[in-house]
Parts: sequence; C-alpha cells; structure tokens
Amino acid sequence: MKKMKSLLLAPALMAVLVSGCGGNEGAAPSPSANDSGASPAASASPVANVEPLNLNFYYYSQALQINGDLPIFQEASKATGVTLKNVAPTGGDDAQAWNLLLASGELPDIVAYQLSGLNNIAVQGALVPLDDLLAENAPNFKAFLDGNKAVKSAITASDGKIYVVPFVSDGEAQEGWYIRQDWLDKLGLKAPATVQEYYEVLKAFREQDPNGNGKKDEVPFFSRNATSGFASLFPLWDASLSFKLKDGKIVYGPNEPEYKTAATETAKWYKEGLIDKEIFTRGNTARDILFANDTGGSVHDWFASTANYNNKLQPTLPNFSLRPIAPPASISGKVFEVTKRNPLGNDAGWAISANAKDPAAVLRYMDFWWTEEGRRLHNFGIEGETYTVVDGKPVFTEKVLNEPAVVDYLIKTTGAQLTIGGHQDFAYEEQWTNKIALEGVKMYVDNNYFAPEYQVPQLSFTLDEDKKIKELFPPIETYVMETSQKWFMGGEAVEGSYDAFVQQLEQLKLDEVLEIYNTAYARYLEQQ
Amino acid sequence: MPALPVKTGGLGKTLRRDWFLYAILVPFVLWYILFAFKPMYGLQIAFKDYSVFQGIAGSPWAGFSHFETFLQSDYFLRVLKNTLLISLYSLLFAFPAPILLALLLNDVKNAMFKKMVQTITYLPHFISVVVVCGIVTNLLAPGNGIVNLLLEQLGFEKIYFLAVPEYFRTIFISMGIWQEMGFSAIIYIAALAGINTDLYEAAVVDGANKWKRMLNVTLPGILPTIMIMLILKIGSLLEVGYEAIILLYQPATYETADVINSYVYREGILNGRYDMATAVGLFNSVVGLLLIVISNRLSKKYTGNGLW
Repeated sequence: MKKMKSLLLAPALMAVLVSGCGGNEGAAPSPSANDSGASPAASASPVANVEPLNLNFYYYSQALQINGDLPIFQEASKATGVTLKNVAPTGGDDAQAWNLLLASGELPDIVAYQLSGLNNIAVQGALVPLDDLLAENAPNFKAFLDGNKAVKSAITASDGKIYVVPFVSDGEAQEGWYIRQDWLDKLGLKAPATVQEYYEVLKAFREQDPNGNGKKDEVPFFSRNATSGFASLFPLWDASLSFKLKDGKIVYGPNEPEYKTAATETAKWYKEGLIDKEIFTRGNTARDILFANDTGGSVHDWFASTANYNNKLQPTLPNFSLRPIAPPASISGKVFEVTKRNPLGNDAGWAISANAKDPAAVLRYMDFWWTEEGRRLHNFGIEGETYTVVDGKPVFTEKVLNEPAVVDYLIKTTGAQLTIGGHQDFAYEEQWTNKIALEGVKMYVDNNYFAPEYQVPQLSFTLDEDKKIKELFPPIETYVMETSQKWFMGGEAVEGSYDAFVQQLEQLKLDEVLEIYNTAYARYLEQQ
Repeated sequence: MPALPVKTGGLGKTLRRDWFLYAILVPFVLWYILFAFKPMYGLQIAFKDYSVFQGIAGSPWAGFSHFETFLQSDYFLRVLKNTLLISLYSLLFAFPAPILLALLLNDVKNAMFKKMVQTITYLPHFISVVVVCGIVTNLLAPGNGIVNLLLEQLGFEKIYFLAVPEYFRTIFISMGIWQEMGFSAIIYIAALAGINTDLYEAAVVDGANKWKRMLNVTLPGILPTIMIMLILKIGSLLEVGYEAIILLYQPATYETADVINSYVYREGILNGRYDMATAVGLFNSVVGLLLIVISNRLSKKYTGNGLW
C-alpha cells in the first residue's frame, strides 16, 4: 500500500522537477546552416489512401493539449483520409503518463515517445516491425533512410529491426560559448582563445567590476543546469562527465586521467568565485536572473535562446552585448565543441503498436509526412495562415515572425513542429533566429568545431543488456555525481582521493557497463 | 448499568434491522477493497522479474533476488541510516513542538491573540511543499539569501547550506517544524479543551501553582492523545517526507539526505526498475508495520493506551 502511494506521488513531483528543464529549444530544435538530408522525399508521390480511417494515437505534451484535430492533422486527413484522436492524458508528467499507458496494456494504433523507450517496448513485442512494410507502404521514408545510414542504424532496435519513424531534426550546431562583449570592451580585453585566457578574463570579470556598480557581485561563469552545469567547463581540460569515444572505443569520462585535472581546476575556479556560487540551486531561470540584473558574464548554452537576451534586455540594459565566441582551446591546445545537433537529438518519433488493425495503412499515413507536401505542412503549418509562398519557398507571415516564441506558437495554433515522425527543415528556423545566433552557428559550422569523440551515437541495447545497465549504472552515476560535486565545492581534495575514486568505480563494475556499451557500439558500427 | 445482551440474533436479523447503517458502510469498505487491498496484488512484482508486457502474472519469478540486491548494495546501509536518523531527529524535535505550542496557547488569556497565533502558525500547512522548498532554497541562497546576508553583516563567511551534507538534516527538520507545528497543535488544543475544569479548581484549592497544574492536570489529561500520536508517528518512522527531500537534495548531500523513499523514487521512476523499487518499498512497509506493533505493545504495557 505504501509502495503504491510512493509510486503515485513521485511522478507528480517529477513533473515539477522536469518542467523546469530545457528551454524552448529543448522542445523544438534549432539552427545550423546546412540542410543535410537534401530531401529525397521530394520525388516520390504519396500513396493515395482516401478511404477514411480513424486512428487513436498517443502524443503526450506537458505544456499543451495536443488534439488530433489540430489544423495540420486536418489538412493531412484531406490527403490521406486518416483522422487522429489523441488518447494521452493532460497534466502530470512524461514518464508518469507513459508508464500508465504501458501498465494499462492497451496501446493505441500509434504511439509517440522517446526513441529508446519505443525500441525498448518494441523488443518486448509491443510494436510492429516495419522492415517488410517499408518498400511498399513508405517509399518516401525509406528513401530518406537509404540516404541517411547513420539515422537508420541509430533507430534500429537491438534485434536488428526497425520499429520507429523518428523525428529527424535539421542542422548541426547546438550549444556554444557566449561572453559579455561589452564587459570585454570596458576592461580592454580581447575574446579569450585558450583556457588560460578564459581564466584570466573570468578573473577580470570577477575583480574589476565590469558592471560598474561598485560591488563585487559579478558571476563570471554560470549554468542553468543545476545538477551537472559545472561539468560544462570540463572539455576545457579534455574531460567529460559522461561517455565518450577514445581510440574507437567507448570510455567513461570520469574514469579517464583528464578528469582529475578538470576536477582540480574547476574546484579552483569555483573557490576563486569565477563560477556561480549557487550553481546547484540556480536552475533553469539562471540566465533570466543573472543577465537581467547585469551580473552574469559567460555561459555555454543553446545558440538561439542565449542570443535572444540581446533583444530582450535592450530596453533596460542598452549596452548589453552577449556574443558567441569560438570554444577556448583546451589545455592540450585543441579547439572543439562537445555538443552537436544530432539528427535524432530530439529523441522523439512514433511507431505502430501491435494492436493496430492494419499496420500497412497506418504506415502509409506516416509516410505522408515524409512527402514534400507533408514535410512543408509539418514544418511551416497552413498556407495562407502561418506562411505564404514567395519564389516557390514558404515564408512565415509577419504575425508568426513577431511571436516571441515561434515554435510554441506554431505548435499551439497549427501543430506544426510537433515531434511526430518527420523531417525538420532548417529553413523554418532560419527565418526567425536572431542574427547574432546565426553568426555563432555559422562560425561553429564553418570551422567544424564539433569534436567527434564526444558524439557517442544512440545505442540500442538488448533486453538483457538493458537490464544489466539499469542494475549497474545508476550506483556508478550516483557515486560519480556525489564525489564530483564534493570535489567541485572543495569539500574534499581531488589530489589524494582520485585514485580511490577510480578504484571504487572498478568495484562498482564499471568495466562490465563499458563492455555492454562497446558491444552495442560494435553492433551499431556493423549496421553502418 | 445493565449488561448489554451478548447475543443480538443472527446476522440476517441485524442486517434487516440496521440495513441503513450497513449501507452507509458499503462505500468505505469498497474504497478499502479497491484502493488498499486490490493493489496489494501488484506487490508480487517484488518477487518477480517484472516486464510490463508480460504482465504481472506472466513475468517469471525471481525469488528474493531483488531484496538481496538491495541489502547487499553499497547504498543500503546509508539510506537506512539516513532514514532512521531523520526520523529519530524529527521524533526528538518535531514531535514535541506542537505539544509545547498547544500548552503555551492554552494559558493565553486574550482570546483574540490566541486565535491569531493559532491561525498564523497553521497557515504554512496549506502551502504546497514545492513552494516551501522554493522559499527555503531562496532564504538559504549563498548569494542574496537573507540568512547569508545576515551572516555576512555579522562578519561570518557565507555558507552554501544546501550543498553541505552536515546541514541537510537540520534544514529539513526545521522546515518540517515550521510547516506543520501549528496544524499538528490543533489536535492537542482540542484535547486540552476537553479537560474537566473542576480538576483545575481542585488543584488551585490544593495550592498548586501554574507549573504544578500543568504537570499534574494538563499533561495527564492529554497523555492518551500524545501516546496515540506517538504510536502513529513511530509507525511511519521509515516513511520520511521524501517529496521535500527530493526537492532539496543534491548529489553532494546524498550522504545525509538520501532516504529509502528517495532511493525507491530514483530506482522505480527514474530508472524504470519497478520490481526492485517495489521490493525496497515492501521492505520499508514491513519494517514500518513491525515498529508500529512493537510500539503499541510498549505503550499498552506502560500507559494502558494503545491503538488496538
């Protein structure tokens, strides 16, 4: 009984915790300057399916009520005859809604969720494998997969079959380094190019009162990620808090020698006040608070939303100038960025449940979204309402472009940019992204700063592997976070305790976890 | 008083006579069956390798393996210790607080003032725990939190309270006292009102001062209430208010903050290991039941009062 109570209460809580995370970009992806997939969908014509068909689908959204009669779905039903009804609850939170759906045992025809979650229930027999149906019923989606092997192998489940139709985002750059240009100018400094220069700049921010209020209240570096924001500095010492690639193998960042240096150095920075003292409790509104009160100096965050503070704060802080800079060269002299827009970075898509009466018909409907018509509908919404065609290209109307949160507006009014299975078009985003952000994106993409060793692909685990990881990895992660935070805050000296730390990781059977990861990685490479 | 008739006739007869009383009972019995007993069926997943798609009945049995994993895990001793310590401290500090408040209020003569204090002290109870934790986080913030500003003015170093394991329990328990003291005092205030005033008059005649009256009349008068509350409290000794813990803790403070229920939350909800989480939850409940039985025995033996 008590157990049940715990289970019921906990998700409600989690809703609160989760609701804070990820800015608007987290929900719907953002910019980069090259359109990778070059839309193979353009050619093939959709399989006409005008017989009316009513489907139930599950699409959970915490913030908005997603109805099957949103304009893009109505528009799609004109072409396909398919009408949708969303069975997902409103309110609560993601994991709760999903777990309740699974526990009920009654999956609707289409389920939309995280890719790993979908593949996990797929190998347990809950979803229809698509491989044999693709050629006949989904020519457009198949053409896309054939042109994007990396996506194909990433969505393949551990049993070698394809179950999900993913939401594929467009673009490359995700996060970048931003610094207060007006502060640099005021102190007569140039943009830092190395970790040493970055340190000196932050030090100057801290000590020379760049905001000119006579108080030492500057917060040189901060993050809105409360739990692991401190680790966003680790790449400056070639280290990582999570898995990365090294010599063609997956290794665990904290277990690597660089981690010791990174932990020592960040602890030193924290002690000297270069990193937000409140980093663990500041949370998602950190940028709103620290930029608006003119105390924040530098962040590593999403391009578009960070650049937006230049416009937002114009009325109150006319001199405010937050500019993207190239990643400071790490201790070994390498210039690189660890985040990269993964085509599957939104970790979303939809799939056909084993309960669907006619999987082929459902797949034909899903394929509609991969046609040129469907893709435009999915990206831009309704012609004449949210966009008009200029020179053969869709251009958003003034009204849309003037919205403060374009993605939210599109989703709410038309359903465009929902993360259903489909292919995003970067052009949709370029039209409203801040010029400063676009400059940053261009700089990162043109120089190809993205470090491949930090791009661990989406891996599919077998049921046994998944079970083993769920058993072994959480204690490791708990231990690592706990120790790392203590080091960071100076509660314990890194020197002298790092060796014991590595030993403890060994005791917690990190090698078994790594072995599973590498087995899955080998499978992934094989499918490439 | 004549003895009550032992035999009231067969069940059928009573049913016919008092059917409306039984009818009133039905919804509650149903509630217990539906929401308290039926879910117990699901407890069996603590002994199974649970897969959502094979269902509760279809999943293979796993014996006590989940219990073994938990008991052997590095975190078992720590979460058990934290749970017990937090409970013990709240028993020591949070349990007597409302009794003291009730005793103090009992001697307030100005009715207006009394009502005002009562209202002000029980209001925090109605604030959502999420908001309370937000307030605490802000009050204790190392930058502009009022506590740290005060410390600074007094010439002390600023402290990042919520990231230092040593402070966690104190913060958590003080927060609980602030939020619940006034509300919990209501039951004692009610019990105080029920004490026969003749007893006080008799005590005054016997020359008892205020302190003596409190010791010899007031406290014995509310002792049964205190004992019942204490037994209930001991029963939920392992049932720490983990919502607040999850909202306040950091990996850096797990050392003192991680309790059985927050561990269950991370295992069950965040990692999706329903079977393991259920096993730990069941362990928690069984120990809780044992504690309540033992404390009831002790209470009956020494004070004559008990839940059953």
